[in-house]
Amino acid sequence: MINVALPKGRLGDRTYSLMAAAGFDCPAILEKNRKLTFENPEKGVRYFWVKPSDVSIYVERGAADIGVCGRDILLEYRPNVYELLDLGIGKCRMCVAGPKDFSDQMDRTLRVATKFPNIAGNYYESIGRDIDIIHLNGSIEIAPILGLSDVIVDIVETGNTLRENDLVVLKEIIPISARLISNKVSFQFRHDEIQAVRDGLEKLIKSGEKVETVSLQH
Amino acid sequence: MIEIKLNDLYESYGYRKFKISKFEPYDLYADNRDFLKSSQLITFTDLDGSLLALKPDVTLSIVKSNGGGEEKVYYNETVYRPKENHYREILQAGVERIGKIDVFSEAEIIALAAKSIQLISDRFVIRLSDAAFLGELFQVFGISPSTREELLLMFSMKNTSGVDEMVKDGRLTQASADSIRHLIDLYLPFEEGVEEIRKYAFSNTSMEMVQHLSELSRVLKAYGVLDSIYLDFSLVNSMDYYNGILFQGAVAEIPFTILTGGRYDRLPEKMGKKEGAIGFALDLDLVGNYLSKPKTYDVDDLIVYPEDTDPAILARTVEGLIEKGHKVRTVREDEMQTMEQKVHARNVLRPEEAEELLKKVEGRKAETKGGPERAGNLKSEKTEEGAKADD
Repeated sequence: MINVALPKGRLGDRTYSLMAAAGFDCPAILEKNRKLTFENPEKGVRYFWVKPSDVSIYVERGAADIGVCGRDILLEYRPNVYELLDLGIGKCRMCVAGPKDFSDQMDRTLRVATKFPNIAGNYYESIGRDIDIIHLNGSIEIAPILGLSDVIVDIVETGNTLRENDLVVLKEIIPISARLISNKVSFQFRHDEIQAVRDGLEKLIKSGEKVETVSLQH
Repeated sequence: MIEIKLNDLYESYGYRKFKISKFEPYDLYADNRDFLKSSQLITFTDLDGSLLALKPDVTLSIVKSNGGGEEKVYYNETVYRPKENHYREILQAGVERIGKIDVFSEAEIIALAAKSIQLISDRFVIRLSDAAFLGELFQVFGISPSTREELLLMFSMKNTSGVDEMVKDGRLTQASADSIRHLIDLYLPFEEGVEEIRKYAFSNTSMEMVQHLSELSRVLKAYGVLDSIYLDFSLVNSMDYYNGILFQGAVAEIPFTILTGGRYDRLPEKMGKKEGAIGFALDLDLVGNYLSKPKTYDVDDLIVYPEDTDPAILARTVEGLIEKGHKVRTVREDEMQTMEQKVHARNVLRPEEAEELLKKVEGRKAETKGGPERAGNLKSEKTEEGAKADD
C-alpha cells in the first residue's frame, strides 16, 4: 500500500482524476463523509488531502510515499525528494509583474514583494540586480498599488487579477506545472509500486487522452 | 544498545577505536572547507588566544592525525552541525580506512556499512553510485561545467523532465539526453546495474570503471551482502567530496538516509599525504528517534501515601519491593495532582496495598524457590547470589 498526498483544491481533483484513469482509482474518495484517508486495498493506494504547500513536507518526511505539487514549491523550498514526472497539469508561469508604466531605475534597490523569496532572490541574483525582498503571504498584487513594493514576483495563471489591478507581466521567469514527487527512501522500499504509478501516469499523459476531471469534496 | 553492537562488529574486523577531543583548531576546518557539509561552525577562543571549533566532522581529524601509514579505525562521536537553522549535537558512528584502497578494501567498507545497517533493521538497502563514471560520461559528451552542475541536480532528483528542457534550450544533444535520461531512471540490483551501464561506457576510461564495479560486485557477493546493494546514480555529491564510489544506506522504518559514505582520496591528497581513503558515517540520532520503542510504564508501582503514613513502614515496603526487582516511585497524596511529570505505573497503590503486594510477591517467590532451596545447602545459595551480582 502506498500513501499518496493530494493537494487540496482543483489541482488535487485533476491529479486524482489522472491517477484514477491510470488505474489507481479509489471509490471511497467520492463518498461524502468526514474521513481523512481513503483506501483502495485492491489497487494498493491510500489517498489523503493536505494543503498544497504541505505536500512536499509530507513526502520529504515519509508520511506520504508520493505526492503531487507545483514546481514553484519545489523551487522555493528545495525539499529533498525525487521529482519523478511532469504531469503537465496546473500549468502557469512565475512572473515579475508591476505597473504598466514601470521602468527599472538601476541606481536604487528594487523592492520586490513575493510569496517566493528564494525564487525571486535567485532570479535577481542571476541577473545581478540588487533587491529588497518583502515576504508576503497573500494578496501580493496590492503591494505595488500601495507603494509597498516596486514590483511583485508571483504565479500568473490567466492574468485576470493583474489586469483588474492595472498591473502587467514584465518578465516571465519560470514555467510552472505539477510534478509527481516521491520520498527517496520509499522509492527504494516500494520501488515497484511507485514505478507502476509513475509509468501508468506517463503512459496516460503521452497518449494525450482527455481525462474528465472529477470534482471532489474536500 | 546499538553502539555496543556496532563497536563489536567493527572490532571483529580488526578496526581500532578512534577517540578525539571535542574541539580542534579552527584552521583545520577553515583550510578544508570543501570537505565540510556546511562552513558554519561553533567557534570560540581558547585561554591562550587560539581559535578553536567544536568538531563538525570526525573524518578530518582522523586524516589529520594519520602519519602516512595504513590505518583502519572506527568511532562513536558527537559532532556539531547546523540543521534547520540551529546548531545540533549529532551522535555519529563511523568507519574509515586509509592507505592503498584496492577493490578488497572498498568491498570491506561497503560490507561493513551493510552489516552495520542490518543491526538496525532487516529491511535495508545500500545504494551505490560512481561519481567518476558520471564525470567521465559528461566529459565524453562535452558538457560544460555549469550545465554539469545543473545535470547533477537533475540526477539527485531523478528529474528527467528537466533534461527534456535542456534539450529544448539546446544545451544538450538529443543523443546524450537519451543516455542521461536512462541513467537518471536507473535503479537496479548492483550486479544487474553494472551490466546495464556497460552500454554507456563510451570511453576506455569508463570501460575500466565498469570493469572495476563488476569486480567490486564479485567481492561483495563473497561478503554475502550483494543482495541488498543497488546501483543508483541519484546519489550525487555536490561538493566534490567523494571522487569514486559513494554509497548511502536506508532502512524501511526511517524516511531519511541514515548512512553515507564513499571514497575520498582528495582529502588526504590535500593534506599532503600520498594515500587513498574510504569510509562511512551513520547518524545514530535518527536511528534513536525513529526506532527506540516508547516505554509502556515508567515504573512498576506508584505508591501514593497520605501525610500520616509511618515513614519507616513505607521505607521497608519500598525496599522490599525494589529487592524483588520492582521499580518503585512514591508520591505524597497531596502532591499527586501537581507532579511535574505524570508517571505511568503498572500499579497505583496506597501504602497498605503496597504491603499486601510485597507479601504476595515474597510469598510467590518463596513458593517457587521453596523446593530446591530447602533441599540445597549453603553452596547453592552462594552460586545463586553470584549469578544475581553478575546481572
